[in-house]
Order: sequence, then structure tokens, then C-alpha cells
Amino acid sequence: MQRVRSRPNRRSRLLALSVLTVILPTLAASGLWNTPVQGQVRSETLIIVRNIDDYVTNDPGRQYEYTSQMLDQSSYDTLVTLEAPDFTKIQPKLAERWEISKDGLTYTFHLHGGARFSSGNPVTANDVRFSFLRLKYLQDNPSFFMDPVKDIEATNDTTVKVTLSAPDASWLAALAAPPTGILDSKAVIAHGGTDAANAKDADKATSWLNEQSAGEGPYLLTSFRKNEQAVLERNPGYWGPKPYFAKIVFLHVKDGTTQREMAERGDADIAQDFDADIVARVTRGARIKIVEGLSMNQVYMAVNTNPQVSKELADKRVRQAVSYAIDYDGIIKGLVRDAGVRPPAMFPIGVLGVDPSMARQRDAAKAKQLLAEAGYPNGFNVKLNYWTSPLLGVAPEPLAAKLQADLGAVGIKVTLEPKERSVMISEYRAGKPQLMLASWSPDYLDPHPWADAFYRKGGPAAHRVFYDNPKAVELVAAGDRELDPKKRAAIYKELTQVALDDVPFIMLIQPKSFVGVNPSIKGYAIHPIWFVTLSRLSR
Amino acid sequence: MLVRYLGQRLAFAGVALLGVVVVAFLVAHLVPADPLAVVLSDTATKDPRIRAQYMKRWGLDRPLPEQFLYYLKNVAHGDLGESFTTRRPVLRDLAQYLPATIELSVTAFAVSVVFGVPLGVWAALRHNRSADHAARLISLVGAASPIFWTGLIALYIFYYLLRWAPGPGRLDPHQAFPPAVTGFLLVDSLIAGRAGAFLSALSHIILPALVLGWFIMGLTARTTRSALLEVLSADYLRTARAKGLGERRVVGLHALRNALIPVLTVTGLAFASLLSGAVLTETVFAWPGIGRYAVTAATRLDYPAILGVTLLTGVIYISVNFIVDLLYGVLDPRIRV
Repeated sequence: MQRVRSRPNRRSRLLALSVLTVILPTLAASGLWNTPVQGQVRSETLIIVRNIDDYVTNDPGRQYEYTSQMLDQSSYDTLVTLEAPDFTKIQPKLAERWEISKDGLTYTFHLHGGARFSSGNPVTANDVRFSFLRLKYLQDNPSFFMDPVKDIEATNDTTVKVTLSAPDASWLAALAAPPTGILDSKAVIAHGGTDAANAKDADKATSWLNEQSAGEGPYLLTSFRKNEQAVLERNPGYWGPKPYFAKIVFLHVKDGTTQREMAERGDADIAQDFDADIVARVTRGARIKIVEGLSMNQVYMAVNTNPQVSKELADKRVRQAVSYAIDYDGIIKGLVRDAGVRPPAMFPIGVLGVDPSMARQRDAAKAKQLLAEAGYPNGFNVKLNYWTSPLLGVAPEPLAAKLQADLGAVGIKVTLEPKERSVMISEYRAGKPQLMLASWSPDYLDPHPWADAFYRKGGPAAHRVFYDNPKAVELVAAGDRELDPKKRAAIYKELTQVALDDVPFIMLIQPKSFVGVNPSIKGYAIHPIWFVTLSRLSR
Repeated sequence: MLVRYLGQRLAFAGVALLGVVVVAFLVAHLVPADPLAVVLSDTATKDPRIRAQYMKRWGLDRPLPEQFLYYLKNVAHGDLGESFTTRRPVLRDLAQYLPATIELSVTAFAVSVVFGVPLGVWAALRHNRSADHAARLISLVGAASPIFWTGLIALYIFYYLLRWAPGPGRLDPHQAFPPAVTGFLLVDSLIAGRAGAFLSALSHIILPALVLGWFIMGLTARTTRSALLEVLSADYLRTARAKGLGERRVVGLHALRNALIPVLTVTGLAFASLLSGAVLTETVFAWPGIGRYAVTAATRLDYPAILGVTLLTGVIYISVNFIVDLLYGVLDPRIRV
């Protein structure tokens, strides 16, 4: 090919020069345009980076996503609350006091007088009745909170009487959960809301509630841009202590490394999605402190008890063998760098009645013995299913490989079968997998939701492994009836013992949570449900 | 003639879109998973009433062919249905995310053309010399580097270390968003007369646009170079040179114009791919565009959103192709209809 002659030397320099003269100054100038806001405005603004793409709605009666728990918790006060560090101590909020009848059926709440919604309407017993009934009749994700309720009566403006259909010792703790927040009934009705029995079709208030708050809490939602940002502003008329920050901006940043850079640069005050790996990479000497706390999330292995799914696993001795074969400490220390703990059964450490010393330890000899007793001295074949996206921050592949090796050491030959998450969830809910890695996050801070989900026959998790033990069902019911915390704790310990004997689920990791916080921020305590109580933060 | 041509094109576009929707619909429904299992919480799925209500709400209780015909009928009326996950009309979701994507794509595309075409010309003229190798290196690194990696490195250098660029996102957190008129922040901030918001938006778009633009620039430069090399040895250029024309005019007027046709094809397709969303760039730069929405829709089996995005992508590709065809005619009169 012919070589072309021209005068490129000058041209090439020109081009290189133009690249330099255009790109670099533009970038530098953009840095200047973006001089950070200083002074009081910056000081009274709290900037939180977080992955907010889970958001669906801000309507307390319909939301059941992580981000909405935090937003709603600060806009809609609940009757009672549970705060760090003691998540077993129920504290007053909109209800300044309450009485529970001896039979555990009637709850009488006395509201804090003087609380007003942002509209100016006073908070009355009628609003409580409306909010609870609406939640019940919307028949949406969080409606189960009102399942125990038989009747609600507003005795006068500040007294509300709730009757349950059966005693439920966990119900008061449920009233700390954000979906049970109190809405301004007049405002919601004016925008199409209803608490009638046909609310699931008739209620039209959700789109209005997505754009603003109809609550009386310390912060009100003033703007929400999905996958971009959410803005909360201080409620000037709040009846409780005035919160420090005038404005809280949530920026949607999905990538953990970017979150870390923003926190280290001081552009974000709080980075909520740290994990052990990100924490390990924090620059030495950076102005950032790591707040650590225990989540009440669980990463576990489901063990199917249905003989049609696996005749081997249907034998209790085989399930016990599986549980004795696992190197639990190796998982916590090696796989998650000690960023987790392990309770004995499917009750997380932090709720009533959990004794970590009951946790099962690895005992390979016992595992082999149990297998031999069950008639499988040479082990058997089994499939382990999991999905490939993280299980509440824990990477499933290395965990599955570790379990494969551990079970392999006692002769159980595990085939790994990863599948796409949506497919796997469907199969798990249909009860198809033999062994399955899965995760669970808390509904509210009482043992009941876990007992009901995992150990009652037909419970949302129990039915996936066909777990059916009348003794467990009886203990779950006994725990619901018993109002005395000491006696309740004993019941859940006994249930834990039954669970360790039956092994329908094997608890693997209760992960710790890590948050990167600017050292100027005070009062950050990790909450297992709504991550942090925003109104308690200051600078 | 032109009317007939346009009519043909439109008819073809309609058939193509229908095909795209049929395939997307079938593929989405072939996935052996229950969309409600993804949408509803563990506790809510146990309640058959809640399940039934959601099945009815999204028409999932009807046979598949009926669902499809129902969908087509709604699309014909401009209704793309309601997303399972966002619980908003898909059209509203698309209208929210598309402008952010267009804004970024157009800027990135401008970067790629402004830098890529001259770089390609330069490389062709200095064929096989050190400058050509340098240009090749720049292009190849741009086109071959995984874009999320380039993005992370760029953020690390220009945001974290040097502080030249602002952090991720479209706007400084202290700037309120201007009222949405067009959805394009650069335009809306000007309409609202807010210089601060405009500058903030501009400074936020530069880094992601450079990263994305560099990726496409590699492609543009390589295509320009090879196309130009091909025409540079053509007879008509020898004639032009023989007439005594200066090299600059030979290249600029005669060669480049003919060489641009393949460049147009390649960059046109690249632009369409930009418009259908760049998921990884969006993740790294926290850019609320269509790519992220598409991925979420796919992983959560959100049928209406999957079909909506597919339809939109189809429309984008067909329109870009059409515009490229028209531009061929501008560059080369022989192609004109």
C-alpha cells in the first residue's frame, strides 16, 4: 500500500494539544464549579449514600422494602418503638402508655396529646383506627401485621382499644414496625384513601402518598426520584424533640467502592452499604469511622424433609449428620472474615430466648456414625441449590463450595446447582430443592415471626421443606400465648432444642452490618429493621 | 417516490417491532419462574387472597395467547401496562429514565465523533508510523477496556485523587432539581433560569461522557482509519492529486467524504447501543438511566417492563438505522432515492 505524504507533524502536535486543551481544563473547571457547599447549610444537611433501587412505594400500608422502612420510620410515628441497643424493651412513642388485659386479648393505648400531623390536624384515636384498618384491608405485602386484630374501637379522642382474636404476645413489638405508622386519616381520605373492607380495590391514595408524607414524624418526605435521590426535611411542627438535621438527602449510589470514595472525600456523611471487603479497603488515615452492628438477617441452608424430594434427607439422622459435618467456624472466620455470628437455630441473636452456646459444632465422627445408623455408611448423593446474586451481602458461590467440601469429607457427595434468582425463588417456594442456600430478613423484633415462619407446619419457610412436627407447632403456639417474657424465653429455648433435633434448617451466618460514618456524625446506632433512627443523628 | 419509500420503511418497522415483541414475550414467559414469587414478600405469598389479587391485577390469571393479544391491544392505544416492581405505568418509568440516558448518550457520542474522526484521519495519514501506533493504542485501550473498570479508575483519579470532577450522580446534592419540562437536566435548568444547576449538571456529565465516549471513540477512530486508507489509494484521488490539489484538500474534500459512509454505519449502531442503556456506566456513576431499569426488569421477571424496554430499544434501532440511511444520501448522492 502506498504511503501518503503530508505534513502530519504539525497536525499531530495540534491534535494532541487540542485534546489536552479541551479535556483537562474542562474537567478542572468543572471541579471549580462544584466547590462544595460550606457553613451552616452543609452542617445541617445530612448526606447519605445508599442503594435505593429497592424502593417501590412510600405508602406505609403497601411498602415492604428496606429503604421505605427507613423513610417511613422517620415520617410516620408508630404507637411504640424498639431502639438500639436493647431490642427487647418496648418503649412508648405516639402512645404514651398502654394496658393489656389479663387474658392478653385487649390492648388499650393512650395517645400522646398534642401531636399534630403536618396538615395541622390533631393525631386522634380515629387516625389509629383508620391506619390499622386500612393496613389490614389493603391486603398487600405488610397486611399480615394486622392479622391478629379482631376489632378496633376509638373510645375517645386519645384512647383506642384493640381486641385480638387470640392472645398474641408478639403483637406489641409488631407495632414498632414502620408499616404500622399512623396516617392523617382526613388527608388520606381526601386523596382517595379508605379503611373499608374493600380497600384493596377502592383505596386510591398510594400515588399521592408516594409524593409526600401524611404523617406527623420528625421528618417529612419532600421529594423522591426513583433510582436517583430522596429528600427528607425536618417537620417544623414535630411534637417530640427537635431533630438536629434540617435536611436529609439520600443519594442513590449502588457501587460500594464509589460509596467509600464519597465518604472518604467527605461528600457523603454516611455510606450505608459497606461490607467486610469494603471496610478492609478503607484508606489508612481517611476521615471516616466504621460503625459496626449486628443485623438480624440470616443466611441458612434449608434441608428438605419430604421423602419424595430426597429419601435420604427425610431421615432425621441424615439431616443431623449434615448439620454435624459443617465447619461453621471455618465459614465465619474464613469466608466472611469474622463479619458474622451464629445462633443455634433460626432465631437471630438479639431477640428473646436465644442462647448462642446451644449452637451445634462440627463433629465429623458423629456425622459418619449417624449416616451409618441411617443405613448410608458410604454417604449418598444430594443437590445443593442456590442463586448467584449475593445473599444479603454474602457471596453464595464460595459458601456452596465450602459446604460441598465439608459434606464431602463425611461421604455426602454434593452436586452444586446454581440458578437465576427469580427461577430459584420460585422453585424454593414450591418446595423442590433438596438442599438450598437462602436468606431471611426480619419482619419485626420478636421471636414470633421466625417461629411462625420456620417451625410451624405450613409457615412461609417451613412449608418449603415440608417440616411437620406437632411438638414444634405446639411450642410456637405456646410462645404466642405466654405474656411473661421469662417463661416465653424458656419456651423458645425448648423450641430451639426441637429444631436442633429435627434440622429442617441449618443456620449458617447472621451477618454483621457495617456503615461508613463521617467522624463529625454523632448517634449512629445500627437498627436491624430501619437501619438507623434518623431523628437521633446529629453533628 | 419518497412517500412510497417512507411507507415501505414504516411498514417494515411495524413488522420488525411486532417480531421483537413476540420474541420478548415468549422468552420472558419461557423462564420457569413465578413473577409473583419475586414481587411478593415471603409472608405475603402464603396468603392466597393476596396472590389472587395480584394475578388479577396484572392479568396473569388469563391464558398466555389472551395475555398477548390484550397487551398488543393496549400498546396500540399507547398503554404499555403497569410495571410489577415499580407499580407505575411503564410509559411513566421510561419517560423518567430515558432522558437521562439520551443526555449522556448524546454527549458521549459527541465526544467520540469529535475526537474519534480526527484521530482516525491522523492515523491513516501516518499509516504504520509511530503516530499511527499511538492512535491505535489509544483506540484499542478505549474499546477493549471494560467500561465499568475505566469508569472506576476515572472516578478514582479525577474525583477521588485530583478533585477535578464532581462525584457520581447527575446533580450536586445541594442543588434542587429544576422542574421537569423535557427531563434533560441541562435543558430544564436553563429553562428554569438556574445557572448553578446547569453548571452542576454539566460538570456531572463530563466524566461519564468521556468514559463512555472513549469506548465508542476507539471504534470510530479505527473505522475512520481503515475506510480512509482504502479510499486514499483510489484512482480518483490520484487524479485529484495530479490536478495539483493540495493534500489537505484531497483528504478533506474528496477522501474523507467517501470514507465516512462506513463510519456512519458503525457509529450509528454504536449510538443506538448507547441509547438502549449502558448498565455498568450507570451503576458506577449512579446515573438513573434506562439500562439499570432494563436489568432490574429482567431479573425480577417484570413482564410489562421487559416488553416496554424491548419495544423502546426496537424503536431506537429502527429510527437510528433510518436516519443513517438518510445520511448516506447526503454523503453520497448515488444512494438517494
